[in-house]
Amino acid sequence: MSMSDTSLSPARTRWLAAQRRRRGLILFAKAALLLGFLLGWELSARLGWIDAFIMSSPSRIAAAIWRMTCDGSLFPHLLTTCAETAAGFVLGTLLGTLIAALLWWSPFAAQVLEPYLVILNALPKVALGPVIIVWVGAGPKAILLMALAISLIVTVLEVFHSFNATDTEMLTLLRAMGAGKLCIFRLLVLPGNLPAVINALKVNVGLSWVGVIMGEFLVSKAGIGYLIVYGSQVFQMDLVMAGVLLLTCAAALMYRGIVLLEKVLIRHIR
Amino acid sequence: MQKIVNVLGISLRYQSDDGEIPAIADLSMDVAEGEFLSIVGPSGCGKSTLLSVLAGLLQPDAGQVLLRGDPITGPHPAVGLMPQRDALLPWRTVRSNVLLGQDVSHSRSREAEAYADALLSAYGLSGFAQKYPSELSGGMRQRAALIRTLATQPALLLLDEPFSSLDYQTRITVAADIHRIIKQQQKTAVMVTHDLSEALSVSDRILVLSRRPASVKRIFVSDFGPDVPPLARREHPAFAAAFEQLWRELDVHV
Repeated sequence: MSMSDTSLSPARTRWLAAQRRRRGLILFAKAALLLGFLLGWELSARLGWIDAFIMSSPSRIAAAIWRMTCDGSLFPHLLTTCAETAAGFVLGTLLGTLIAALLWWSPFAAQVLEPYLVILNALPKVALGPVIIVWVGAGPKAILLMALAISLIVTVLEVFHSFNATDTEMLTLLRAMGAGKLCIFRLLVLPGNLPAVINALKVNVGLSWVGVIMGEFLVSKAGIGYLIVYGSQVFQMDLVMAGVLLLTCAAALMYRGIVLLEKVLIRHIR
Repeated sequence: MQKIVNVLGISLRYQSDDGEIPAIADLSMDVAEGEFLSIVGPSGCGKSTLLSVLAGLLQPDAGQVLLRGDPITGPHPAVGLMPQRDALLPWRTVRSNVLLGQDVSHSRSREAEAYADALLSAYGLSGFAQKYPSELSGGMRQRAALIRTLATQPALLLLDEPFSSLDYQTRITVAADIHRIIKQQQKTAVMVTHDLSEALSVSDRILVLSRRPASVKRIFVSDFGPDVPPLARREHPAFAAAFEQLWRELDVHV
């Protein structure tokens, strides 16, 4: 309903105005929180309340990012990390869904593997880091494996549980129509659980970042994770903070991308 | 009259870690070509188990089920199941849901699609063919579910408490609607229900099962006349007496 609509009752007009005010206020508060934080940080550093050498400051972080952009050292690191994360994410999702499908296929295998999956899920995967590096060497392969180790088991468990929770009545219907397992999977289990798979994707994005940064910490050759470790070793906190900031932005952007993908996918199957 | 189904002394026990539960014990019955048979019985007596056996989803431990003389050993193309809730897949359009059986049996052909479209338009759903189930009313969803069952051209329809998910008013009209379509299509139907007045209003015969393990306790033959539609039956003077008799036969103790 448009605001110029003359049939609006006074109460409705008041309510709409109040809603608009509220939305504006929330937006303002959001921006104020960020600006206030940055301003407070900057001021504290300038006035000497905190040690800018240790705590860094927004202007120093901006300067560090600008410097790295100009000398061309930023982009390769950013690209490396993003590519590794994307690869880990795609691989983890595809492999995880595939394994979940196989477990759904064979309840016997699922029952046999269940305790192992639970234990692997509980294991802090970071502990595998040194093992992975010894096995495949300190390189992109190790980073990818680290990302997989962190995201795969969760994906498998999550997707497998949703596959198993498929509506029994729909299962009965398809079986009565003479459908085999492959047919049931293709027509019912997979499309019916796409929302769950997408949910796993959302969790996976975050976990892939954790895995990749963890891997870069250990491998320390390139990427944002490397920048952070390097920065802390040479005591350049500006560099460390710049790395964290870039990471935050990249992760947020990727999450946004998945939300967009979700909308497209759901529209396609709905 | 010619029999489409013969159930010959079947027994079935459910096995579990806690022991075995006899669900059906030495049950024999038959279904005549073209009749509408309802199965009623105390709750948990094994009505739905019997239906699953007829659908070929469960195999009896003993005895045999014959479909036009041939034993049923698994799901059969001549048998169509209509489940309790409509079980329409929410991500498929109504038309695509109706053609689900063809997609399962890889028999989606131009003829099959034309037949499904003809059914949709004959029963007033052609305008909703491209809509999703969530955009349909409960009655229309049930009708779509029936058309999905009819689209595979089965000879025998199995209805598992098909109206139990609907509210009372809708249930009465939808039951009449479904009954009309099934009679028009000259299909044989076996319906499991817990609603006695529903059973009385649509059935030619009513099978009363005993408590678990199920066996046939009595068979009621409708005497309202074959051409009296469900809504008129509910108004029939003999309806209340028939209901009373059926109720007593069920032997429900609270």
